[in-house]
Amino acid sequence: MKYIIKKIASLVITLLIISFVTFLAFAVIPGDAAVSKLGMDATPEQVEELREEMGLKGSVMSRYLRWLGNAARGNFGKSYRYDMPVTELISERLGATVGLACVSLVLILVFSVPLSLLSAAKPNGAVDNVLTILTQIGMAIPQFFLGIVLTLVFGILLSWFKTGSYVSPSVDFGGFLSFMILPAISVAIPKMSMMVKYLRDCIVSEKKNDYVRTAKAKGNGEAAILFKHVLKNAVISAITFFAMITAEVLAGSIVVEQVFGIPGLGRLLVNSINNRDFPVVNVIVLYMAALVVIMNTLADISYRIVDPRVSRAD
Amino acid sequence: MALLSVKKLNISVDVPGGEKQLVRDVSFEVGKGEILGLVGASGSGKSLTSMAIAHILRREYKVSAEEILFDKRRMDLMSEGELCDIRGREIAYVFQEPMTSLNPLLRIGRQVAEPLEIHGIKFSTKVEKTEAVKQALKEAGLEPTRDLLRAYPHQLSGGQRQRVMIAMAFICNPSLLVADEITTALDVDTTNVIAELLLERRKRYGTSIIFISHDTKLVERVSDRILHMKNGEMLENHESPEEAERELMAAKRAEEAEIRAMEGSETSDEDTDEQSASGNKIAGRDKNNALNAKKVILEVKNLSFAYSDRSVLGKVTLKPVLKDVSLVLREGETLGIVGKSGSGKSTLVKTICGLQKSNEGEIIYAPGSEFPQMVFQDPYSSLNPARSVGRILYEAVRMGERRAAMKGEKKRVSKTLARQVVFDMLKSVDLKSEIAYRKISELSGGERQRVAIATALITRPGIVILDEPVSAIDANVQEQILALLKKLKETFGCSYIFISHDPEVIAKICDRVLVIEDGSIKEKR
Ligand SMILES: Nc1ncnc2c1ncn2[C@@H]1O[C@H](COP(=O)(O)OP(=O)(O)O)[C@@H](O)[C@H]1O
Ligand SMILES: [Mg+2]
Repeated sequence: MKYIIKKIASLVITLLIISFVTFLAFAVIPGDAAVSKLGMDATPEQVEELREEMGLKGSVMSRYLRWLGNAARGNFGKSYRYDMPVTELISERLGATVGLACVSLVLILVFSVPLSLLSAAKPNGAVDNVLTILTQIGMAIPQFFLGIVLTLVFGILLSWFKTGSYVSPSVDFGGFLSFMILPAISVAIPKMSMMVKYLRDCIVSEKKNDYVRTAKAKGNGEAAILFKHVLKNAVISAITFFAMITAEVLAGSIVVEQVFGIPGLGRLLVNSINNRDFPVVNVIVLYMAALVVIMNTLADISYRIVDPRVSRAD
Repeated sequence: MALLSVKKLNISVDVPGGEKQLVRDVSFEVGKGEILGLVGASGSGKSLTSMAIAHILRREYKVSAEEILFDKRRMDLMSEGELCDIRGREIAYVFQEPMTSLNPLLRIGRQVAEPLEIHGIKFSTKVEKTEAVKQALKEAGLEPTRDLLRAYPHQLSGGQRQRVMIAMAFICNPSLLVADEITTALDVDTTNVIAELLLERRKRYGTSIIFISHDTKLVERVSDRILHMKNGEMLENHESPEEAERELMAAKRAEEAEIRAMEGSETSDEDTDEQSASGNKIAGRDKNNALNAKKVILEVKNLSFAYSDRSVLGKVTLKPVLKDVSLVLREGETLGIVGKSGSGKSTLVKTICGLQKSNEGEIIYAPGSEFPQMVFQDPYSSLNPARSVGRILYEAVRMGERRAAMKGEKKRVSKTLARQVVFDMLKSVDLKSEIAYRKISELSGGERQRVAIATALITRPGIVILDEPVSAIDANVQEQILALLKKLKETFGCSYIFISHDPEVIAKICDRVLVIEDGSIKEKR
């Protein structure tokens, strides 16, 4: 328990540092949000007034502390561009991104474990070689191309899945799934390929350990050795890797959102950067960084839970 | 009729550029209730031969035999399914490596019960099954408490783990047990108890045993008949133990001569030094005096350490392992630390290396000796078995550079140079450069230990800590490794802390010896 508290404390500190650094970065990059909002021909007085209103006055530190104080109360400021609270703007988009991510993660998990087992059952056998080639293709193929081909084949030619416009899962869950399946496949294929390759290598090296010989000497068949003994050991060595993939998927893919017209975070981020909509960019960057840190922490905590060798004394 | 009869067994592997024959035309028999001893130098093919009986070798090994007849059945013609049926139920194995032979993630109770489940041995109640597990553990000399059943392998000592392996092997009451160097990693007391255990088993259940060891004395005591292997072949059957011993001594002498020849060609003056034994002793004493004047490179002051143990109910108890330990290590010396298993030796060195924090006390390093390197008893658990030797050494070079960078010394050598360092190091530990391309899992115990030593020394550390470095390898190779360690200390100018449970080994290599008992230093020699 103490361990988990310690981990969470270090997580909070890391997030604070990251938030300060992003804040600082946006404070020093050139360009004035007030100017870009008013246009080039605004008078200096107008600009000054707007800067005051937008809270751009004062030292970086005092502005950061003010922002932090508000953020702690759930107020991340207002978008310069849309005149609406950042939280509202983002939560709309977050739903689409997280929805896509969840479907993708289910696909990744469901396929990568059996495929890696299949691949590692006979290292360098025919199945392994074919899967190695496929995973290489999967990793190399550009996502936008994958998206276009998938839409063309399954959406338009075969019309198995809906292609039209995005449906929120709260409105029509079936429609949401049918719309999401093609984008989710585009997101999942490269990550799944990485996962299969990584897990396969873990399993193959795990199979060389002495305990596997013991398992065999007891009379376990090939499958029992894999499932009862090797798999859990191999999965443990892949926990951090999977956590990083989860973080990446949850961060959203700009390319896939663009190709399939999903109103997600990625598109919002690109637009906000173009508009110098700093409060929005700041929160999205923070979200992405937080994902990495949180997933890492979760990975560390799950080691504690599943691996008895990691001491639980403290 | 014999229980097992093996005729013309051959084992080979594919290596780059051909096929390597590892075991050639080996034939032997084991009678019902017989204990057959199998001896031979490390790498002579004993393990491969024994594993071929129930076909538990990895796929890369090609096994062929004219006939393997077990209990009137042709093992060599069986399908994998039929073999699985026999493994663990009729033929059971216990291996040399107690530290790594159990699944780290499963509780002891489950692992011991597993053969019962695999072979469909049914019990009417769960309690009965647990009783069977407890009985097996008891017969292997363990107190079958609830805590033991719920423990994970890493919570047990090497001796305890080996007993668990034995309990697991006997639980289905097999008619043949293959015991491959099962006492090699254990201390003398435990070895004797385990030997007794096997004899008792045979007496009560008529179990046949193939007892593999390099320890001729032990094999003689345990076995009814002894066979010798050398270079993958079975030597002529020996009727008398004396004859067997003569053969083995001759082999040993030849090997020693070989080592001397190897060393002699490099440092001939050392050789003459060894020949005048009396002169050597005086020189040794002088050396001791000189040592007192040498610089102290490591000082340990009043070190204490206790494990916090959490019982199932959540009660935390402190188990003291080190009590107020102080010691100094001087430049260029070999400090021996001797003590029984469980006396706190490994905890002490882990604390010195910073792998574990002490509760109390101080550890002070002289500049240049801040990062002691370790060599462990069982290189299998410290080196990644799937990596090639070259890769492991290369990474060690880079690791050393990162540590140096931490101290502010920047120097990163080119890839070519780093590779050169790796090959030079292999040569220094008397390994052929061809070994660089092999995986750890393809090396013999002695070869693995040489790689472990090379990995430790390649960054030129000031202090090398050797934790039972020769305990898991057999006598001939042990001598070679000790000689190698002496040579390397001269070449690299480092200091050793040498841990062992074996006072004989300690006497052979150390300048000064500390005895540790129950976590505190008892006497200085
Ligand atoms: N995969 C492999 N490739 C090449 N040589 C191997 C491989 N596996 C084992 N060997 C060699 O086979 C020999 C016999 O090994 P082993 O049966 O373990 O000997 P022992 O048990 O008598 O010490 C050793 O010299 C070892 O180096
Ligand atoms: Mg062996």
